[in-house]
Amino acid sequence: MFFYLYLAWRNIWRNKRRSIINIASVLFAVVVALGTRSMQLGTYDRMIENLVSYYTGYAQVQHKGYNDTHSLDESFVANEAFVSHLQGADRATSIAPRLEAFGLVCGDSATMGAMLVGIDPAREAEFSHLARRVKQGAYLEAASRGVLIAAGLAEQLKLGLNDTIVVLSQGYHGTTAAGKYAVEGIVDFPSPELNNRLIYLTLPTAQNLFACENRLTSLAVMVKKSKHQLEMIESVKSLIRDDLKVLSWQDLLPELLQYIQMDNASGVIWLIIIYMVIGFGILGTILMMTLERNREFGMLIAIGMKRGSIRVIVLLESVILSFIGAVAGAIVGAPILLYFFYNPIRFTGDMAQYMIQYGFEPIMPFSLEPMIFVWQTVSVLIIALVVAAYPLFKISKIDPVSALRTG
Amino acid sequence: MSVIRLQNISKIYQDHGLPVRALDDVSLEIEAGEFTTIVGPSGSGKSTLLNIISGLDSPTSGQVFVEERQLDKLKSCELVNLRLHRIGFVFQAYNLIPVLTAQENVEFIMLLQGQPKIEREKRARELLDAVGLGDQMRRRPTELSGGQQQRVAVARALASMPAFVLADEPTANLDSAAAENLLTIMERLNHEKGMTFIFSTHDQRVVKRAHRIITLEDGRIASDVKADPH
Amino acid sequence: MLLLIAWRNIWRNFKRSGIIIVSIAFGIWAGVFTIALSLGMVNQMVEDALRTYISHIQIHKPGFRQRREVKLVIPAGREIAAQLGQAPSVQGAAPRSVVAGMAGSPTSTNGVQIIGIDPQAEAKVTDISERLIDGEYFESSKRNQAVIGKKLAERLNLRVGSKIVLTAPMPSGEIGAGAFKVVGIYKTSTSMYDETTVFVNIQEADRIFVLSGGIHEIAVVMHNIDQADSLTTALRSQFPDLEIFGWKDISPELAMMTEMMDQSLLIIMIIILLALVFGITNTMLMGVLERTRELGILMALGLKNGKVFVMILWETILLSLVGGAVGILAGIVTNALCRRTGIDFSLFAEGLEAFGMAAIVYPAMHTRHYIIVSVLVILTAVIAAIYPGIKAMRLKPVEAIRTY
Repeated sequence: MFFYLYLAWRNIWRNKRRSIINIASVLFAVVVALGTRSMQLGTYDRMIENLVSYYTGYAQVQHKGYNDTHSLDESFVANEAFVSHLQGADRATSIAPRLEAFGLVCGDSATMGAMLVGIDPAREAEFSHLARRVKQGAYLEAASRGVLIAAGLAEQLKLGLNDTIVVLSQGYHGTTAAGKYAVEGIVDFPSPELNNRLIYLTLPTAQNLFACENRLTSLAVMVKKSKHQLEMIESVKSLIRDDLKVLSWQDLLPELLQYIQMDNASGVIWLIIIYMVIGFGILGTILMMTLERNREFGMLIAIGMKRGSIRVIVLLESVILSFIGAVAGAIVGAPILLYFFYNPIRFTGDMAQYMIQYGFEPIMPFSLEPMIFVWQTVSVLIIALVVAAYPLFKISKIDPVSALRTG
Repeated sequence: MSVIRLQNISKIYQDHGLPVRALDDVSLEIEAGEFTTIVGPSGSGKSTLLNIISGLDSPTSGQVFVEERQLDKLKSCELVNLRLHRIGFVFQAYNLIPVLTAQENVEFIMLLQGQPKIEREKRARELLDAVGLGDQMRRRPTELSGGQQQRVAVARALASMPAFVLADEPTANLDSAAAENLLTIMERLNHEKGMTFIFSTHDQRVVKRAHRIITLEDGRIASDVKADPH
Repeated sequence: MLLLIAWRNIWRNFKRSGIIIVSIAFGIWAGVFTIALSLGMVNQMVEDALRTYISHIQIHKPGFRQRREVKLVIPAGREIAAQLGQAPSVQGAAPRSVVAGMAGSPTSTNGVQIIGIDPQAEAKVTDISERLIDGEYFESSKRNQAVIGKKLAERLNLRVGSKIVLTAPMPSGEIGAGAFKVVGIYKTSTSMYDETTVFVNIQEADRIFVLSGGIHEIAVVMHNIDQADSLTTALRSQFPDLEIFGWKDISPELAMMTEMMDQSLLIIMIIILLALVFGITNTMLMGVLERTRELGILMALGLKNGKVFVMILWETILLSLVGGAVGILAGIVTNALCRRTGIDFSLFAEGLEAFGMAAIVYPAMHTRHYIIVSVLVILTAVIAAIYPGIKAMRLKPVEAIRTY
């Protein structure tokens, strides 16, 4: 076997220029693929992180039916003991109890819709590091009576610290909810979706406003790594009452999930196109390598080499040729990815405006997920195998008598 | 004992739809240790005869026995093994694997036979010494002259310790000196080791040295004479 | 003559040329199809956005667009709208009152824009009346009708006939509220819009939120969108105190999107063609190397080096053009076939609609794009020909003839 490898290796370098062009083509494809994949996965990670780690959590415990209506009537009673009880779920790192409802928020001159979120300040700080997002004023204390307002919303309402807002909404079972609060702090989110609509209150304040004594709309659960999500969900399921259910972020943010799936699908199609184009080039080379060695193959068969062994050599040639390109591509691609991983592309000007308008953070982060590299190598190997099919078939048809006779 | 026995061999090709009788009722026996040449004009059936002897081609009618084994009774893998272990080949051109050195080319056949590395190296060295290329072992075919390439081919043919060596116009592309040199080496191997050689040629230099000359004309044996080599 | 030799040479090694032609054709086809699909998506997105909520021109009191204050009404707005509606180039001009408020059902609440419309004028401007999936558009006889989006209906658990309470601040600063009956449910290709936009009759909005006849917005749609710019300019000089925006000012992202899409498509095409360069170069190089002897003879006969280069260049261009033509033709056929039925991305409908894109995409491509692709193909061929061409040019006739 080692000898076959050696023979295949030698054969590849029989025509150096041709092999180098081939390797360069694979290298090119792999670098393009690594770049686009890294960008896509990096963007997805960022989008998920922006919404999941900064707000939604990897899963939420809700009352059955809440997710369809977002109605306070579908809230549930949960005391401190229950929250602590859930804290014991496998892989759960932190838990944030929340009471959320939509409300109209009036500043001095303008009125906007906002998502009012009642939180346990200490737990929320641990959960989404909300305290670190305060860019003006102070974070909420357990006994605070005021609110934290997202920077984008504050700007639209022309609100500053200590300004007063009037909140108007509908509480539990259709009661009217109204309240007046002072702005204690302004928090900044990278995701425009959060930055333009969030207002935080303490849980008791919110429960009081919405007449939801001891009630929550959701308990958000965080895990350290996304791969722990399923384990955590299973564990949470076993800990909760019958009237509650656990929803993953995929259930909670179906639009984000679908957007990612679609973008991912288009990315995969793009890679298939590039790899197919490159594959044709390699096919041409392998074809030539086969045709020009017709006599050699005839001679090898005549002196007693099995066709199977010749096939092994040709297959090895195809695999080695592509594999060198894949490795070279990874070597060239890795530093580029590494650079952009630490220095993500930031958009400015119109482009940034455009992205914010569509709810994206104006940044193009890269991912260093090792699977990106693995997949490119696998793809290249698949090409090598597919491309080798023609010569493999051709070898069975070689007639040594005529192969030796002709040119 | 006869190494090769042909009984009433006929071979008919279809050439552009027309039947061509390449061999017509040829019967022939070749004994171990012979230094035989098959001569005849182009198209007389020399190559076809060699191909049939080696089992690369099969006759339209008649039987071929190599060491008393009937070829058409062998399975294809047995045929491959027969060629690998019992027959040595020297072709007119394109004998060697271009990407391998002389030594590797000689070793190649033993590698296919599955011989251990030490044995392979030892034998390759001996054989290359025997053909006078002991100092050119690490060169690749493109770095060798035509005559040297053919000598490597002879060394390779012998490497498998075959029952006989089939050489199809081995001197066709060689100048006189190289041809003489090659023939001398083969003659010596025949003489010293009793190796059977069967040539197809129309090169008089080869014919002069043969012990037996079989002449083919239009696919038939026109004459079969014992000769005294000069 | 060189052209003829080049053409014949391509077909000498049919298999090899065939592979590279198929590869070029595939690459170009894939590129053309991707472009058509993306352009189709964007065009549709722009058209939908203009038809559904942007219109061609919008008129506001300065500051309203930023702050949405109910006090910022257009003076004599209704008269201006009526006048504009009569203008020959204008298809329709709709007066609207726009109030940021809240929609509540017995179970839940959601933030909404309450838009008071004149149903007849509005139907000439936007296509909400054609996008109803349940119920009916406004009927003049009934009072307190509301038309809401599908997403909002789901959120608030509302059906046609359900009651919906709309709450919003009034110009006085107090909060006004009114109960409406859902008469129609519409669905656009933007889910966010469907979740946050409620239409009511402009008279009722006026009455409930005490707007005293004031309107906040006039939306204008032209017969021909190209005339929007000139009308915008004319209106600006006529009403210096009002903010008059063409659709590109209202939604620069949308205007930018077409342009950006053009750029990213160019990049995609260039990457595909670069990937093709390798294969083409290799094929041509092999062609040159195996013809060393022949080229040597031609040169010995007196063919100048430059001509040899030109010959190789012609071969490469012809080869690429054959592949390119096949690819473009295949693209045109595919696009035409897909235009008839559209390509169904319903699997990702929610994700698409979150960004204002329709789930059924009709590929679209301008002649301009085909021309760009063709030019790029030729450019690719030239780049791919350089190395093999130089290689051929550098052959020394004597050596070339000797080696074979």
